[in-house]
Amino acid sequence: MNKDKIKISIVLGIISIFLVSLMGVQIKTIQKTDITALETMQEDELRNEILGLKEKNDEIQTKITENEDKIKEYNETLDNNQKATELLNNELKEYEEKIGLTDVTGSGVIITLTDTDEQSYSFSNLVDFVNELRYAGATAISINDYRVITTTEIVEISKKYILLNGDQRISSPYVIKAIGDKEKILEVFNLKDEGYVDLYKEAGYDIKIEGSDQITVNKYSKEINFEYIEKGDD
Amino acid sequence: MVYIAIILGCIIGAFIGNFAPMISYTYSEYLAIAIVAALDTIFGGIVASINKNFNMGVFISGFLGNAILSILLAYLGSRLNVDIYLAAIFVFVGRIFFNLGVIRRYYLEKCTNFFKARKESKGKTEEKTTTK
Repeated sequence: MNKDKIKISIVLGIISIFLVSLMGVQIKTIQKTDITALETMQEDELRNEILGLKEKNDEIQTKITENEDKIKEYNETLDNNQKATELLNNELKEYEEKIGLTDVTGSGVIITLTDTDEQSYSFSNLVDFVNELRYAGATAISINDYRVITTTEIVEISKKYILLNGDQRISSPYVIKAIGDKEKILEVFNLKDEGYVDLYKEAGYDIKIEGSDQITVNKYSKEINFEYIEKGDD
Repeated sequence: MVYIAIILGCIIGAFIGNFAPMISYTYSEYLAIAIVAALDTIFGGIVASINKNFNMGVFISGFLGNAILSILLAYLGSRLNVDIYLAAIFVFVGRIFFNLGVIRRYYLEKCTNFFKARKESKGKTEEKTTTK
């Protein structure tokens, strides 16, 4: 009887030790995980947030790919534009060459007119020469290395001086360089009795004309100013 | 004797539990149900010792079996999304109250018996004095 009671108390004691230590663990866990419990409560929210962010991320990713495609397109168009600008530049150069804003070289003729005691060249003679050269197909003309373009005027300021392009003064000897069909120009000028060479020589002028394969005509060095012209419709 | 052992065990257990490591929050649910099962077993043991039909085998197997079974049931409940552990707690706590009632009645009876015996003995002495 007494033995049994001792046995019972020992077993109950051991079990209560076990039980209370377990309870201690449990209480500690609950106390310590109070914050983490709150966190676990927020876990759902966080999960939702993550899901939202993932969706946003996907959207952004698709946007990025779209933008990349756009960039590709833009680059392509940019390339096209570069080609276009290249073409435009080429065109611009061509036009500049045509109107005389660039140095040009080519075959042509050099006419040298020198004043003598007998006769001296006037501005109208030079105009005639330019006219004749243009008639003969000259594409670039310069007098004493001053370029003659469409707007160039040739006027007299005194017996000795002729004015070109507003303020470029020239005097004898006048060296007219013209690029064009060498043979044709020579033919036109050397026409028997009717050509300028014969005509001027007969009148007592000093005139020399020679063909050349390598003539450099300087560019028009000033600005071309089209004042008072308003843009018209095509 | 039994109560001294239990109190001593409680003190030592509290001491151990103070230094025991923490467990993960997810498992604390199962531990709680095991604790309730153990509490039930202890009260059952006390009642058995009062009734003088304490059986060591039944006691220990009840202690371990109830705890393990309740844990397994709780786990199954969490798997099946049914709060089976509530039923286990219901049963265990109900039994704890029942056992407590038995213990209370036993000691109340003991108390009343004690006072009755005292009164009777007192009455007897009074009777003795009155008869004298």
